[in-house]
Amino acid sequence: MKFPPAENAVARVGQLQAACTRLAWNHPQWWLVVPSVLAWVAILAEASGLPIEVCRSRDGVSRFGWFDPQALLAGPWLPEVRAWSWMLLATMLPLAAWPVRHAALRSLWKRRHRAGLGVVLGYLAAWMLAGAGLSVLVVGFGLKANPANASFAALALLLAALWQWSPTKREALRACHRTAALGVHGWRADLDCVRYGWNQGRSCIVSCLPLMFAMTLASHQIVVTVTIFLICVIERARHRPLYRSTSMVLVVLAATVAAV
Amino acid sequence: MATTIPAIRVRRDVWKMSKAGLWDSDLLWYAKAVEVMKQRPLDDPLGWRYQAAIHEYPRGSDPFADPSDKLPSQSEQDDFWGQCQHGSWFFLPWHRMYLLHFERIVAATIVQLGGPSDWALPYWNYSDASNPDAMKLPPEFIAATLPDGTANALAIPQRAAHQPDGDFGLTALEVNIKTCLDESEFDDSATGTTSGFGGEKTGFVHNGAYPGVLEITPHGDVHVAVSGLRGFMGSFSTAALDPIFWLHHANIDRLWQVWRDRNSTHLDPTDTDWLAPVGIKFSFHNAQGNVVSHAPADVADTSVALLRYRYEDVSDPFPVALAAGALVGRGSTVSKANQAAEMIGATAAVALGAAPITASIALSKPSGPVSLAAGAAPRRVYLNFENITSKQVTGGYVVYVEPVGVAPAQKGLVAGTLPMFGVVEATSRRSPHGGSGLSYALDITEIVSAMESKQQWDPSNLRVRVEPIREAPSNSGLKIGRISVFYR
Repeated sequence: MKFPPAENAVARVGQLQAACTRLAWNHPQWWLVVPSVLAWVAILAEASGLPIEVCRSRDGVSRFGWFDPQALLAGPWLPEVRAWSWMLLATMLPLAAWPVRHAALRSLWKRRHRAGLGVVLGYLAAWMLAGAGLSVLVVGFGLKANPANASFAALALLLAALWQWSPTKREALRACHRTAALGVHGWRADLDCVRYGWNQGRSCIVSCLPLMFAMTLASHQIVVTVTIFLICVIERARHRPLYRSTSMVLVVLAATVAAV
Repeated sequence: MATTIPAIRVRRDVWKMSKAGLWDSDLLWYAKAVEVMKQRPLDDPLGWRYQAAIHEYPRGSDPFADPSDKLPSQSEQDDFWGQCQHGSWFFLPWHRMYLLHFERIVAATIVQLGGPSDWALPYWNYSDASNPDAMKLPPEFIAATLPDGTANALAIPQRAAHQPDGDFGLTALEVNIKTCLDESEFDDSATGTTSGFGGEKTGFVHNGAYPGVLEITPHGDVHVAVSGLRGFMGSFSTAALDPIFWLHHANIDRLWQVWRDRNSTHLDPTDTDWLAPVGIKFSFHNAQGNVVSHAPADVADTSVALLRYRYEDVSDPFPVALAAGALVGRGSTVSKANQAAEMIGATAAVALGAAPITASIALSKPSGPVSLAAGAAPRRVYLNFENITSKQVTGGYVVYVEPVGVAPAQKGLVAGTLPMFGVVEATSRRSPHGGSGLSYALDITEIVSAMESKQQWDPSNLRVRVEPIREAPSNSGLKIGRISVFYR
């Protein structure tokens, strides 16, 4: 059927609306894009020299996700918490898309976004706890304050490369694709979603923490952050660690970080 | 120099071969080749155990594990073992590749033994209504010895108890192919719905969630019926150790062709993610022991030089095919593609055992896509059995939907089966299959339509009965995560 120009435009708008509606129906996790993209914009803006504080403090010391000993003792905590949160939103939140979609589509329609939010809360809670624990570890060993930071970062990348080959990594990656039977109504449904997100977060931590650790120690190089993020996304989509190619990439990164 | 195109091999119906005379030469050669392959070591790609390991191999549950076994390197295991694709739209093409190379390895072994060069894998058509013995195992897979008195490698003790004539008690429900052949689409990835004929769109995965309709029935049902509680066929890791596995899967492969021929709209996916997925390759060893890799597009047509085989009979067993794109039961002819489904009710976890159970599902009014559809009536209704887990091998179950006002003594209307093929591996958190358990979706649209027409449908409540098809352990820990209902 041929429409006159005006009707044609109306028809196209209608088609676009229908396509957007279908997209929102089939991908109720779409809203995860918003915080993640914002976080990436902020991180990239900072990396390109814009006067914005995301992962770097005013004294110029990189705190991409970690506390330095002075900050830990003297405070305030806010910049460190902020830095870790930005990193989580940018790199780990997109990995929650799959469980969020699962929970949303397997909940009553009117609860679908609430279910997804529950998953995100559980997921981020697990990651924030892991971040806090690792911060203490890093501060305790003085890794961030040490002048040989680049060597630590390179070593962390090599360890992450080795981790890619471990059976535990494979199991954890598989666990990131687990589904769960969720409650239908009330607080039980909410609790199930939070618990599901928490479990997904735990699996994700086991799978990705060595990568995130390496990313943190090498955080002054945005290329490392982007590469590790891509590794996480690709292996999540593939269900397999792709240990040969990813470990090779990580070894090259380690060499680069050490050289720089 | 012109390349010689190999002659087309014909995969024949094993029951027709058997009825023409016990020990058709192709079956005899198969038995001899299997015996030779069983003698090959575990790390020999042309060996029987290696071929079975391609499907799945956890060392801990290898029934033939021996301290003298030499395992292939971890890298080789990663590339070639435990590759089976289930709950995925790669289920059919991957198993076609698997069968192809197995067939060529057997054929090469037969040639080494002095046999013919044109051996082809037979198929077991258990759904053949013209053959009263179709659901029985052919006698060549039961006989203890070959005609020369040597042991018969096709007969193994690791199967369900059966009559001497090969009758396992396989039921018509378990070999029903009408439902899968009526599926209008190859894949359907909408949440809560059946996954089409061939399975839902996935990446490389053997812990996929919802299998295609063919993969449920007859595929899964025949696996668990032949296996019983202690057999090889019931688990991913041991299934291919049973020589009948290969004939069963040849039939599944044949049904793919029957489905395609049934209706001009029955088409394989045209998505490049299926035809030639980026970064995914399925690797095998060919009959020469060389590594070969394929994409689904390479094996979609069985007449190409790589495959060169056809089935003796791919005729449609049902006279009237569905009209193009038609949806059964509720009068809609709208394509299923792009239609979202919504969950309208679910139970809590349900324990299953040796006794039948009934579950009542409170249904809400749809408030999403279905409520916006014309007439606010669902075009299709699906029953989902989510996250079925068990730490013990168990048999299959049949699902009934109970109409309102019908006495509880009556079982209700058959919705389908829940074969528990691979449930232990799917439950194990250490297994590549994963931890989520099995999940199934059954299309109950026609049942709901029938109940509506008789005023036996309650839109606020649905009662479901689940009972074991045959022997089932009472304490297997078998549990359904929840039973849910989806409208579309």
